[in-house]
Amino acid sequence: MDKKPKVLAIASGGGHWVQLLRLRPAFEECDVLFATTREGYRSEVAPQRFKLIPDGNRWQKLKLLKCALAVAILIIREKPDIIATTGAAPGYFAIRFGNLLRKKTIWVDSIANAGELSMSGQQAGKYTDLWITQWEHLAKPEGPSYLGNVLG
Amino acid sequence: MPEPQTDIGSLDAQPADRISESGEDLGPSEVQGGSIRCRIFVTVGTDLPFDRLVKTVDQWAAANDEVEVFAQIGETEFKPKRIAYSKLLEPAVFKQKFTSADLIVSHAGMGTILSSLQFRKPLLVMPRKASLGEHRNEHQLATAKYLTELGKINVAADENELLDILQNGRRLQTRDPIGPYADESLTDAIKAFIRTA
Repeated sequence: MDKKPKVLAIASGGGHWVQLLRLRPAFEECDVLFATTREGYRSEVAPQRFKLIPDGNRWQKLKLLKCALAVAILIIREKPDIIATTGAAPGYFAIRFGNLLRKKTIWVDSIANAGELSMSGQQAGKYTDLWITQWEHLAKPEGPSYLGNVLG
Repeated sequence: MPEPQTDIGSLDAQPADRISESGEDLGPSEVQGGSIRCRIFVTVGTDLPFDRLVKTVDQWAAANDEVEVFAQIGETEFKPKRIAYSKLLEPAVFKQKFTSADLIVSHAGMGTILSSLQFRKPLLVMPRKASLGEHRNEHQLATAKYLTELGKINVAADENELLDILQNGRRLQTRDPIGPYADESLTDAIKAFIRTA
């Protein structure tokens, strides 16, 4: 490849962000832009690029809308080739808009979802090119697939 | 058992992180009457409060002068009486409190679980229950169950068990530590996907 692929690595704060950072070796040949919901995480990825986005969850409709809008604008402006996420709401929107704009998309469902796939992970499935669960017992032939987990 | 253990019942243990490379006692915890204070960091994560956990630790700490507790308690009306707390810590401060603690007590959140394994901190988790309005679904019970099976965490099912473990100083293991990154099989698969995308 002449040019490094541009990856948008996006997740909400807390555990989703911690898991996204544990995937960093996957992006080492890429030009990565990290996006998350807490400004304080910026220093954890410096000097790589970082964008702050508003958080949202499906119980707070207005916040959810703001989150969706911010993610859409981010993808339109940044034009990533690939979108990778560990969830939750910001990641789901990134998958949906990314799919709409014909980006390649990667959903890694949080390892917290050990009993069943997250609702956003379930819904993201059909818009995701690489759809991953971190639990072998949740993998299915039609997806999601199990390829290991973030424990390392 | 080869894993290092923290005995929260006898507080005279001297964890390695209290000593600088030159062997000097950094002394962030006061030495009182020959015993070193046990420092506990409590976190309920960044998303939702978890008063049942914080209240239990607060009550226990009120009867145990020798422990020094700091808690990140989330957006809640509840104000702990005995322990120091903050609603939400900046990530840098959080990391400092986390890494200088002798024991972490938390909800079954993956951020805390992964960090405790990576930084080799003994961890005691009490899962949130959606049935008590503590989360949006019961996934923390599943997280706790499956990670217990993998030998990754110590779990207190409820506040009685939490008190019992804290009070009786049952030994808590620091589980096999993990590195900073995910399984290579996972990151390699993502890398290969990106290369062909």
